Amino acid sequence: MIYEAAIFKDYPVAEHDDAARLRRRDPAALTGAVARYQHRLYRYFLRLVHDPASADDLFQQTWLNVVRQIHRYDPSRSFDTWLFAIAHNAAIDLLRRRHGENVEDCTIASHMPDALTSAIARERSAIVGDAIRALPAIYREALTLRFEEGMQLEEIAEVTGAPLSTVKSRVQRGLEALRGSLRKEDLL
Amino acid sequence: MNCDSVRELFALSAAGALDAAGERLVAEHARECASCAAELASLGEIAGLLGGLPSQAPSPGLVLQTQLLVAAEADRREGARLALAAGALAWAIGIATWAAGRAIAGSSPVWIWSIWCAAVGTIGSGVAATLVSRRRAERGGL
Repeated sequence: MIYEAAIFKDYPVAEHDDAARLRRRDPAALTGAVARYQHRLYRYFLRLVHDPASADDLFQQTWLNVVRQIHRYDPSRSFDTWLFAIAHNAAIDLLRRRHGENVEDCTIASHMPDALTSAIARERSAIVGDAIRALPAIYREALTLRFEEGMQLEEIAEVTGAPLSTVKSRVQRGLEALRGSLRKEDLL
Repeated sequence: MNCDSVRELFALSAAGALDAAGERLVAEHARECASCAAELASLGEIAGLLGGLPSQAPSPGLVLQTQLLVAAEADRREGARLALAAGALAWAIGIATWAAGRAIAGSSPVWIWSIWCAAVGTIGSGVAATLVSRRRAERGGL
């Protein structure tokens, strides 16, 4: 297996005791979860919606939805997956409402934005970040959940509500599109 | 297996999404084909880059504000649940004891029953308010 990175050891996930306390809407458990997941959740939103103001709104909306829907959470299942499914729904709603953003658009941008050309001198990671921004939302989401959140494809399917075969296709096409973009920038 | 067929597996290999047989197939092919090996390496490189992308952290103000919102929402829902439970209990007690009251006092006018229910309801509301305030105190004033 080539891919080994991006499993976040820094941010421990909810334990079973925490899950039970969350289901009871224990404020200490809820506020603890907000702190624990802040980086992962916020990063996910930024990758999807780009602008910090929208990411802020989605962050708050997602946690309020968690409080309202926590009775539906099954503690025997992954809290991460459940949380990100709520986050996914909030983000997709916003993207659909937002003018000009086509969530389901499967056509890859044929050229990179001009801003990328002027960014060649920047760090490689910054160039990759810009290249990701040019991808359709469904690819951005699949790549960030797989490579930044370290989720298995089955978990991504659960979060997004898409069939496993669709998730595989999104990861595959997203990576290939990214490679095409980065080659144009002579990064590979 | 020809190059075109096996290349379809490269992105999944880079994503760590192939089973052992698939990985073996890809590795065997890459050993024999330099151009495919380069393709595979480039996708692996992208996977590594994706895992190390920098990201902006949420502001401490946003996190704190969200924590306060979440705690307030949880508190509001808990209070509503307790009030509903106490109200239902008060009604149940009122109705149950009315039957006992009638047996003792005989056939009473409606106003006696109304006073009785109001008294029980008031006691129930007091109990609910006490439970909510105790719960808040236990939660450390969040």
